[in-house]
Formats: sequence, C-alpha cells, structure tokens
Amino acid sequence: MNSESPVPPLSQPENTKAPPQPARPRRFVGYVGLLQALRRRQRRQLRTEGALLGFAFFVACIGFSGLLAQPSLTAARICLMLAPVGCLGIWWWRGFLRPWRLFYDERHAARLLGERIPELSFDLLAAVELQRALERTPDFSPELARAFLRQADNRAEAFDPDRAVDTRQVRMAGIILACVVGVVAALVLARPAGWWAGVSRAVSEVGVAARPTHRDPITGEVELTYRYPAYTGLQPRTVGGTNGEISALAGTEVSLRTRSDRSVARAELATGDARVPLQVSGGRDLSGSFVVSKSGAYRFVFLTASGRQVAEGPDIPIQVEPDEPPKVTLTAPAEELEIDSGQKVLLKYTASDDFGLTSLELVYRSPRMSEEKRIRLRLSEERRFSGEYRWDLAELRLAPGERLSYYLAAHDNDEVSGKKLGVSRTQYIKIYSATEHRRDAVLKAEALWERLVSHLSSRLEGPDRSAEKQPERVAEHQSVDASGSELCEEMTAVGHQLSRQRDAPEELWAALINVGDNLQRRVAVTGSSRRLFVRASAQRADLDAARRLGRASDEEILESEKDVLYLEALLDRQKLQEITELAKQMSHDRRELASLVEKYKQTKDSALREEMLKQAEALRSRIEELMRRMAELARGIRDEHLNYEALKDLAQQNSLEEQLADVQRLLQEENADAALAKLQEMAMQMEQMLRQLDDSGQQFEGEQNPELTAKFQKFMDDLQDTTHQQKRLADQTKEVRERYRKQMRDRLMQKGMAIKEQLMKLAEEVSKDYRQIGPEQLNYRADRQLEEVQAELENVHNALKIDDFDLAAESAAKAERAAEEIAAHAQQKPYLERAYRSPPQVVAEAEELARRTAKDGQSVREISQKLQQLFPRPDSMLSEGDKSALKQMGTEQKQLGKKAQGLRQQMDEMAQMAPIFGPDANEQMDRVGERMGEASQRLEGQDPARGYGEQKAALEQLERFQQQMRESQGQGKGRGFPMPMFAGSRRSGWGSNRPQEPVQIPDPDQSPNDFRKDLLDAMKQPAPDKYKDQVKRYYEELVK
Amino acid sequence: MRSVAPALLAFVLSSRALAQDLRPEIKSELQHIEQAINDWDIAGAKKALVGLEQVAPPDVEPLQYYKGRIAFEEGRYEEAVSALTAAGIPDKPGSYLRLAKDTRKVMEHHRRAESEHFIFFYPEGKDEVLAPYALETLEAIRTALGTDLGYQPPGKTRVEVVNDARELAKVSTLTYQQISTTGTIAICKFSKLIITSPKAVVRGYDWQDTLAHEFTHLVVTQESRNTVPIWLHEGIAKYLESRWRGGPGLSISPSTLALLGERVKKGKLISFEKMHPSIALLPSAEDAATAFAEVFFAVDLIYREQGAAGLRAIIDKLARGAEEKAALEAATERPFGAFEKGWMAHMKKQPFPKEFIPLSDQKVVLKEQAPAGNKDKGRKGKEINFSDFAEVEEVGARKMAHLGELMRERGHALAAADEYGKARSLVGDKYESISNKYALALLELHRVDEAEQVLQAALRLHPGSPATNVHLGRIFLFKKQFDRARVAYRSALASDPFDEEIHLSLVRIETALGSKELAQRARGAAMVLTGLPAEMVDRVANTIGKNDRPLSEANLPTQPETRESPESVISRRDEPDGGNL
Repeated sequence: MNSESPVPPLSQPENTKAPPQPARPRRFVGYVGLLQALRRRQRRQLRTEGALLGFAFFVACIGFSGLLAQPSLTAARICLMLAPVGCLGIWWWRGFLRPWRLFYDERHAARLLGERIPELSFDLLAAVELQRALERTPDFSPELARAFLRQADNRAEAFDPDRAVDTRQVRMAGIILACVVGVVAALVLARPAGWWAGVSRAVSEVGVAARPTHRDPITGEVELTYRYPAYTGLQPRTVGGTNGEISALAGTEVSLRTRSDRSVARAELATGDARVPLQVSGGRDLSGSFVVSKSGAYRFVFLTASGRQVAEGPDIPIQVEPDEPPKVTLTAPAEELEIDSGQKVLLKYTASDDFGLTSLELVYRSPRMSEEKRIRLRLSEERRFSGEYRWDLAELRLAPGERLSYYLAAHDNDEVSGKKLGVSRTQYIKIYSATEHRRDAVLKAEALWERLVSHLSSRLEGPDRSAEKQPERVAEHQSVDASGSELCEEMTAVGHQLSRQRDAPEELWAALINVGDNLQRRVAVTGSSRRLFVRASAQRADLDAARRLGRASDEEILESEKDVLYLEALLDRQKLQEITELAKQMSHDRRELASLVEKYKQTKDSALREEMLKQAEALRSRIEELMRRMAELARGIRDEHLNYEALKDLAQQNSLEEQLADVQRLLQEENADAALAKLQEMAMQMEQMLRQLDDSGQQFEGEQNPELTAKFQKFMDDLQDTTHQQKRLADQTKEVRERYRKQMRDRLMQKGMAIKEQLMKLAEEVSKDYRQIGPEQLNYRADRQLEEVQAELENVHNALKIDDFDLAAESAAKAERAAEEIAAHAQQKPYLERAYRSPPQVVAEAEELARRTAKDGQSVREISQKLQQLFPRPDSMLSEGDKSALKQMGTEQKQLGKKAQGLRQQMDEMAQMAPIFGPDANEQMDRVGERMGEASQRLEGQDPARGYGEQKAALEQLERFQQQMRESQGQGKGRGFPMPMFAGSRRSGWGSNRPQEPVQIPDPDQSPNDFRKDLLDAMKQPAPDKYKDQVKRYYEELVK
Repeated sequence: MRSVAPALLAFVLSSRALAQDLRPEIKSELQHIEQAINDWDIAGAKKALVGLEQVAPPDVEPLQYYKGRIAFEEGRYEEAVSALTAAGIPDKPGSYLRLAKDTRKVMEHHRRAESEHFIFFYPEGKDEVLAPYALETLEAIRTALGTDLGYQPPGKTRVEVVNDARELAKVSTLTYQQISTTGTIAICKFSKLIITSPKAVVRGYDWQDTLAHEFTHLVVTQESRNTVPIWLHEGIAKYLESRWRGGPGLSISPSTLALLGERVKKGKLISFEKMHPSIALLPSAEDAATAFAEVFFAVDLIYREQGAAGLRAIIDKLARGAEEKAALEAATERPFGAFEKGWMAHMKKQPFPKEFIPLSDQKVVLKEQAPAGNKDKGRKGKEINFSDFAEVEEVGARKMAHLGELMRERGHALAAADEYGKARSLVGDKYESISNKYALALLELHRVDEAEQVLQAALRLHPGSPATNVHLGRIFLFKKQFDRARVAYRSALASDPFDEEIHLSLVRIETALGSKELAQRARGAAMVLTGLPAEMVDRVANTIGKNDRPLSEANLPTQPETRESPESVISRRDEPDGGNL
C-alpha cells in the first residue's frame, strides 16, 4: 500500500457533502467498473491498431505483387498469398493476443491507470490487492480496508477512463497505413498497366496453377516430318525423338508418328476445335498429318471404337514461324544528292528475303509527275542480292532545281499469306541549279550589303565628325567599331566560302573579299583614333586626336560609300542577269510548246493534244512563277536606270500571260494554226524583251561609273603595254645570258669538276663532325647555328652532286657564317667553365670542343672559298658589246619599273572609287615593282643570269596579273563596268569553273637559289620506294 | 487635216450619188461648205448646208456627208455616224465614219460640266476634280484672249478629256505611235479641245496651261481662218498660254531658257526656214525645243514692241491672205531682215540661267510607257523612289543622292541629309529630285527653314514642279502662312491634280482664309479622290500640319475599307490605273 496516497480522514461522515462535481453520466460503478471500462477501451484501441497495421500489410503485399511479377513471378505470388494471411495474422496478434496478454489481470489495468492518472496514483492497484486480500483471510482490519475500497470506488467514479487510454499506437498505425497506401499508390500509378498486368499474371497463373490439368502423357516420343510450302524451296525434314512440339512456317504440312502407351481403338489429334484422325496400326502405332496455319497447341486423344474418349494427352505447342518481308537497302548514293542535269546516277543496293524475292523496282516521283513511276530492276539471286543500277536521269528531262524522290521496293514470294512488300528508305536527287546557287550567293551578299549600309549610316550619324566632340558619345561608338570589324570579317569569310562554291558569282565573292579587307583597315584606323581621342580627352592632352578621329572617320565613310555603291551595282547586275535567264527559260518553254503544236498539226494525234494542253498549262504556271520572280527581282533593283529598264521590260511581259491564255483557248478549240501564229507573236515579243534586257545590262554597265570605267580601261591598256615591254626586254637579256651561261658552263666543267669530289668528301666529313656535337655541349644559343651548318653542308653536298656549283657556293657561304658563330660560342665555353670553377675535366672537354669547332670552321671556310673561286666577276665573262647592251637594258628596266609604279598608282586611284583590287592584287603589283627593281640592279651590275631571272619573274607576275584581270571581267562585252579582281588564291577542284591551266614549271633562272633550295629540300623528303627513281630523275631534270 | 480634206472631198464628189449630174450651183455650194469647215467656220458651213438642203434632193450623199461632218464638229456623234453611214463613207481606219464611231464610243460614258462659254466632258471617276479648275482656266483665258486678240469663239466650246494616249489616237487623226514619240498630250482639232487626262502621265503635266495653250490655238485658227503658219501658231500659243493666270510670256521654263542660252552662246539657233514646214520635223527634240523658244521670243518681241495689237495685226493680215513675211513686216513696221536682227538681239538680252538645266522635267512620260513601279506609286508615304535620280547626269551626285535615298529608306534621316547635301553641293539646284529628297530628309530632322531654302532654290529652276510645290506647301501650312501655301498648292495642282494631299490641304487653307466657295471646291475634289465623306474630309484637313507627324511624309488619312461608296469603287475600277490614291 502506498502510504503517500492521500487518504481522506475516516471520521468524515459518509454523507458529508462532497464538493460539487460536474454532472456527468455514470458509465460504470466503482473502481472495478473503471477498470473494466479501461480494459474495454484499451482492447478496442489495440484491435483498431491491429486492423490498420494488417490492412497496411495487405495493401503493401498487393501493391508489390504487381511490381514483383516482372522480375519474379514467385515473389509476386508469395506477396499475393501473404496479403490476406499476413493481414489477418497481424490483426490477431495486435488486436487479440496482445490485449489478452496485457489485460487479462485487473492489476495491469490498475497499474496503467495509476501511471496515466496521477491523481489516482496506485490507489486502485491497492484496492484490487485489498479486495483480493479480503477475499482470503485478511490479516488486517477488514473495515478499514472496506472503507478504503468505498473511498476508492467513490474516487474512481470521478475519473474518465479515456484519460488512461493510450491512442498513440493507433495514430502511429494510421500513419503507417497512410504511408504504405501512398507509396503503393505512387508505384502503381507510375505504371498502372504494368502493375495490373503483373497482378493479373500472378493471379491467373496462380489460377492456372490452381487448376492444373491432370493430363498425363499418353504417347511416347513423336517423330515429326515437315513438308514446307513449295515457294520456300526447302526440302522435307524429319525430326525424331521429339516431345511433339511443332515449329514451322504457315502452310507447312506436318506428319507425326508416335506410339501410344496403351492399345487403342482410335486416336485423334485435337487442334483447337478441329480433330484430325490418326491412323492406328498394331494397336499402338499412331500416325497422321495436318497443315500448320497458326500458332496454338494440339493434343492426342484416345477413343474407343465407339468414339468415346478414354484418354487425352497434354497440350503440345505449335509455333508458326514468320515469313519476314524483304529487306531492301540503298547503299549509294547518299540520302540527298545533287547532280547535273543529264548526269547518270549509280544506285547500289542490297535486297534480301528469307525465302526469295520475286521483284525489285525503283520507284520515283518528281513534283511534276502526277503519280509514281517504276523501273523494274534485274534480280539475279532470289534470296540475297547486291546490285547496281546506272540511272540515266536525262530521260526524265528534269529541270534544274527539281527534286526527285525515289526508293526501292521488293516483293517476296510468299504464296501462302500473300507477297509481302519491303521498301528502302526514300532518298532524293536534286538537279543542280546554277540559278539557285547563284541566288543563294546573292542573298548572302545582299544581307552583308544591308549591314554595310547600316554601318555607313551609323558612321554618318555618329559623333566622330562633329566639330565639338563629346568624349562620352565618342566612346560609346566603340561598339560601331566592333560591329564594323565583325562585318568586315564576315564579308571576307563569306567571300572565301562562296569562292569555293560552284557557280557562285565570281565578281560577288571577289568584291566581298576586297571590301572586307579594305574596309577592315579603315575601321581599325577609326577605332585606334577613337581610343586615342578618348585617352587624350581623359588626360586633357592635346594630341590633335579630335582631328585625327574626324579624318579617319571621313576616310572610312568614303570607303564605305564606295563599297556600298559598288556592291549594290554588282547585286543589281546579278538580278538583271537572273531576270534575263528567267526570260530565256520562258522563251525555251515557249519553243517546246510550239514544237508540240507543230507536231500535233501534222499528226492530229489525240494523245499529243492532251500532252499539248498539259504543256500549255504547265507553261502558263511556269510563266506566272517566272514573272512573279522577275517582278520581285525588278523591285529589288535600286539602280536608277536599271530599275527603270527592268520594270519597263517586265511591264511588257504582262501581255504575255494574256497571249498565252489566248493560245490555250485556241488549242482547246483545236485551232492549231492560230495558236502557232499567237506563239510566233509571243516569240517576237520575247525576243524583243531579251534584246532589251541585254541592252539594259550594257547600258547599266556603261552608266554605272564612266570615270571609273575609263580609268580601268586605261589601266588595262597600260598593263598590256608594260607586259609587252617587259617581255621584249627579257628576251633581249636572255640572249646575253645564253652567251654568258655558255662561258660559265665551260669554266665550271673545267675547274669545278676537278674539285667536286674533294669538296663533297670534305663537306661530308665536317658535317659528320658537327653531327657528333651534342646540343648540351654548346651554349643553347648556338643550337640554331648548329642545325643550320648541318643543313647547309648537306645542301652543298647535294648541289655538288648534281653539279650545281652556284647553289653549292651559296650554301657554303651560309655554312661558313654559321660555322664561325659556332666556333665563337665554343671559344667562349672554356673561359666560362673556368669562371664557374668547373672540374678540370669539364674545362678540358670545353677546350677540346673549341679546338674541334675551330678546325671544322676552317674546313667550311676552305670549302666556301674554293667554291667562290670558281665564279669570276660576271663582267669578266662578257664581251664589250654585251656589257654595253646590259647597261642599256638596265636603264630601260629602271624606266619600266617606274611604269609599274605608275600602274600601282593607278590601282590606288581606282581603289578610291571602287573595291576592284584587294590587298593581294596590290601585293602582286608591288612584287612586280620589286622584281623589276632587282632586275635593273642586276643588269647594271652586269649579271645577265640573275637579271634575266628577275625579269622573267616580273614578267610572269605581270602575265598572271593580266590573266586574272581578264578572267575577272568575265564575259563582259569589252569596255564595261570593271569587275573586282579575283582576290588571293583561287579555289580549285571540281567546283572551279575557270579553265584548267597547265602547271607552269618555273624557269630555273627565276629566283634561282630559293627555288633550287626548295627542290633540294624536297629531295630530302623520302619518296615512296616505287617512285624513288622517278622522283630523283625529275628533280635532277628540273635543276639542270 | 488639210491634207485629208481634199482627198475626202474628191472621194465625195466622185461618189456614186454625184455621178448623177449635180447642178453647178450645188457643186459650188458643197465646195463652199468644205472650205468653211476647213477654215473652222462651222457656223458658216452649217448655214450653207441648211441653204443647200432646201434646194438639193435630200438623198444626195454629199449632203449627208457634210451633215455628218458638221454634226461631228459640233459633238453630235450619234448623228454624225448616221449621216456619214448614209453618205456611204467606208468604215475603215482614217475615215470620218471610223473617227465618229470611235469618238462616240470614247465619249459614251463621259460626264459634263458647263460654264458660260465651255462644255467640259470628262471620264467618270477622278477626272471630276478637273472640271471646276478647267472651266475657271478656260473662262479666264477666253477673257484674256478677247482682250489681246480681239476675238472670242462664238457659242460654247467643247473640251473633251480622254483617258490616255490610245484614246487620244482614236479621237484624233494622229496615230498612237506619233503621239507617244512626239509626246503629244492635247490637240485643238475639229473645233474643240481634246486633252489627255493628267492621270495618264507619270508626273502629271501643266494641264491648265495646256488647256489655255490649246484654246489659244483655237482662237488663232478661227480668227485667222486657219492661215497662221505652224511656227507662229506655236509661238503665239506658247506666249499667251499664261494669260489665264497673269501676263503673257510666263510659261517658258528655265530649262528651255537655259537651252536657248546655250544655243545662243554657241550660235546654233534654228532659222525660220528650217522651221518649215513643221517644228516637229526637226531632227532632234533639242532642236525642236530651241525652235519653240525662238518663236516664243519672236512673239515676245512683237508683243513688247507693238503690244497685243501687233499680234492682232499679223493674224488679221494672214486672214486676209497676206504672206507670212509680209504680215510680219506689216505688223512690226520694219523689213523682215531688220526684224530678224532685232529678234536675235532680243534673245541675246535674255537673262539665261547660268547653269544648264536638263530638259527632262519638260518631258511628258506616259504611264503606259513607264515602268511598272512608276505607274502606280500607291500612297505617297516617304516618297522613296530611286528612279527619280535617273535624270542626274553627274555620276558623283547621282551616287550620293542614291546613297541618301538608301539611308532615307532605312529611316536614317541624318545620314540621308548628309548624302543629299553632298549631292547638292555637286550639282546645286539643277535637279529637282535631289533638292526635294534633300528637303524631305531635312524635314524629317525638323530643320524646316533649311528645307524651305532648298525648295525655294529648286523652284527657281523648276517653277512648276508639283513635288517641290507640295513640299513647300507643307512648310507654309506648318508655319500657318496660308496665302503662300495656297499659291504653292495651286501651282502643284496645275500639274498634278490627282494628289489628294493638295486638295485636303486646300480645304484647310481656304477654310482658314475664309474662302467658303473655294474650300467647298477643294472639299469636293478631296471627297472624289479619297472617297471620304465631307465631314471626314474636313476633319482630316483640319489635322494637316497640326499633329506631330514629320513634314517629310504626307499627312493623309488611313484608308478604311468601308469609306468608299460602292459607286465610287465601281467607277474607279474602270479606270486604267485603278485609282491612284
């Protein structure tokens, strides 16, 4: 008994009024009632908890069973079975077993109450104990105990047993259930179909498993004989010792032989609802056959003589093997191919089928065709075939730009379920359209031109040229510098890109490159002037930066204006050319129609009439399309004159449509004569239109910039004259050189050959010695010289080998300089080693190296000197007449050089008007001037060989330049608008539409040393074994 | 006409009807009628015919023929066709019957407007706007010529407007080829004036001066009984054509003056002898222009020395049958040689413009000969048009102007002004296209005063330029200088009457100046051209020059689809250019 429990005084009368208690319904009596109420509630709680947990388990198992079916059907089935069992088990355990264990004894409930309701403490436990003690022989005062019990009753009635009920477990179980339901729902909803299929599978197979067929085998091993359909070409096949499982193509006849486990009167095969009687021989040997048509199963059935079934064997599967459709693959050409009109296309393909192909066709269609057309291809193999077909598209008369779709289609030989079709991927062939490519190029150029206009406007409206420049505003315009620079780069890039494309207008890409290059420099100057101005403004320094910026901006504007106009003129020209081309197309179409009408007139063939009407309709839509395009182009031409002319021509074409409508009407009325007359009228009109367009083009070129045109023409004339004069002068020099060379050759043959072997040997020895010097032995600064001396000595050796004493002398001189530097470095090394207090051995090695390099240097010097001695002063080999002629030629060459400078000046002047020349052209002309200057010096120095070489080089530069200029002007009719000169290196390869020039073998006198050195360097590269001799002979021939 | 008539008369007299023996007095009377018609004395011819009808049998074919001729001259085309058919005239190209039929067809749907002395026939549609201005011009020139030449045609003169050059060819004896190569735009023939609608010409033309010019021809022909030689005819007509708007001799253009100055300087003038038989037969257009300028100054000299009486005297002498030289000598009271010398001296004294001005603005370009882009420019908007610079001969200036237009097209007004400025510095005011585009760029930048200066300078060399006048009008309206704006817009209207901007602006101007009648006239024209109702026209007109829109663009109403009445849409659809709004 708990002495600490507050025990009310016994003296307190029973009827003493207790403090007023809130009225409450009496649900139990005394403490016993309280305990019973608590136990009831507690049990209810635990059953609820058990039910929730059980249900959670059930849900989890059902949920997982669907998901587990895929990896493991067994696991799914276990889940399914566990679900109800586990659910009930948990409920029983938590809701019944556990309460019984917890609450079978009142004392447990009393203790729990005491714990949960502190006011009661353990009084009720004491009461239970007392009550039990009273029932035995008490060793205490029973009255007192009963008084206590009464008091406990009274107190107990004041409390609500719910207070002592623990609901946490139920709540927890509820949460668990909710979580499980949530997780399972999420998993199921993620793949509801899969879950359901899994559950179904688990359930159904459980069901099947639950309903096992108890059919026992009633036959032994089965022998199967397959007789395949004829189209397969397969031989019959017999398979013995099987369990009867059949796998065959549809249409295969299967014969079975087996032996029954008992004697039977009759036997059958049951396939679905059909029955196939078996032949019974000897009471137990069974045989029969049936044709396989679909997958399924069959079984053996035994019957009595009266037909009553006595036994049934298990189901044996029948598997129908599929006959696959043919596979066709186009291996060549590529999916999209662009070809020239009339070009043949080689199609490469493979076709295969499991049993055989019956046909292979090429199916194609162009936009103008109302239906697909087919070409039957040859099949030499039935099952697997790789073939080629050279497709001549010329017959289809596809127009440029037209796109043809095609594929291959093959049929197999399936006679059972019908021939199946297999097709290849659909591919496309487009007829190359120069117009489209040019149009594309024009569009690209036009977009850049538009940006150039915008750039020009930004410059014109910018603050750079205003008298009072505001540094902030000027600084803001750095963005224009950047965008301008970007634009120039893009122009150059697009120009180069277009130059590699076939049929891209040459003048357009050349102009883009020229504009990009020239303007880039101007933009850069403006940009740097701006930076200078901004810096000077910030530092308040007076650097004349404002004026410099203004000037740079002005010059850039001038350049941009010129570029805008020139590019625009070229674009307009292109558009006019396209209009002319379209007009020609229209004319061509008209001629075709006229020829059809003429034919029809003669034959009166109704089929021809249909074709003629179709052609007329096609022509009309084509003319409409062409005219729409022409109108677009004409509107895009901004040139004052060209616009007027182009639109005027276009205006004339409006009547063409009306005339063609008349032609169509007349053809409908079968009035061929009138239609022809009308077509003739159209022809005249078209002719006139073409003439006018041609005139417009010429007029346009004449009016564009007469001043520039005149300058350009003068330049071309001067260039021609200069080239001619240079040629004449070079020819004269050549004559002198020939005499000089003859004398030199004689001298070299005499003296040079005598020392050749000796020098070669010496050069080789020295070279070998240098090779033995490691890089670490010398100062790192001598590395370059070490390499050089070896290379030059090798050159000396090679040159001597081919009797080129001139080159050998030059290489020897270079080798001598390098050898001297090496010796100097080696001389320093011992001093340095001593200064660094290196070990004596190191110092000794350095001294040895110095001695070696000095000796080698001496040898190289000796080689060089001996070679130099072979060459006397050129003038000593010339006659007085030649000397005088050379002097005269030197003077003339100098004057010609001035003329070349004049040409360069003219180029500059023209460059102020239009971007005709790019930096490359300028460089070319500069090189011409340099060559001429060099030639002049050589001639004055009485050196006819090198003088002639320089002259020849200058002449070739000039001729090349002239050729490029001529090509740039293209098909122009003479003295027209100057086209930009092709910039830099030209494209090459298939795309080039310029004439293929033969490779020019440079004259040996042209830049002799560099050229021959290049050849000798090239000789060092290993050639393929097969060609070694040829290569060697080639070089030797060249250098001679 | 003169060449056609005798042939026809011969045909008539040799026809089957005349194979019967006509009495000699009838033959003589017929010849009298023929002569009267040739002398443009239709009243006299009609009187003679009435007299002849009373004595000759009614079925005589020549009677029907002249009845038809007179009916044709008087504009009674239905009657003319009946009578000429009855006369057995063949219906073939060049015959009077074909002419009458063609004219009847062309005039079939024409509408008419009348004043005291004129009946103005015009095609349905926007030509309606011409009527009040044309009648005003004609009445004014009639009054002025009555004073100067002492003659006014009796009755009401017919004026017929044709849609285009093809119609002009049909109603005249000229071929289409002749019309298009010579640039003929109006003729005075068959006792009436025939004028091509300005809508047929790319930039319009000085149609009011042309009306006055042709009426002068009519007066001179009738007064002189068709005896004045062509060169003098042209000289008098050109000299007096400006009388409807002021004094004589105002209509010679600076470009013609400049050309004459150049020729005077080089001594390459055209002699009177070379002008025979027709100035139009001179080898080049430049020679023809020079010849016209020369005869203009010949008339100018006579007018200055003798006044209008001098001209009257020449016409009178010629009408009486005097020779050209004699008539001139009599009128100038000096020998022909002396007159020639004086004339040369007079020409040399003229203040020729220093710059050479191209003649292109004088050239009439028919729309059907113009490129598609110029035929129907649509709404004016920013007036972007590169072909305007085709006339600029100086390559540098043309290129700069071209760049300016590129910039303006892209909304870079400042850059455009820069480029135009460069172009103008190269060629000055020589080309109205450059000046106008420069002014438009300046207006876009709100540099109004600068733009006005540029335009005023351009007007000095191209006084009748409708574009320059319209742009100036905008500036004056903006500055509320209504009087000056009125002059500018009226000058523009004299060449380009179908520009709705002109009429809308005139509504505002006349309203501001309190001229209710003129405002109403402009309103009517604006309604025809825009298809807007009166109140809408007033509302639009009231906003012109007031809102914030730049002066570089025409402040025209947007074109709601519902604003046109069905009738106007139908009538305009029939027009060759579909209504150039």
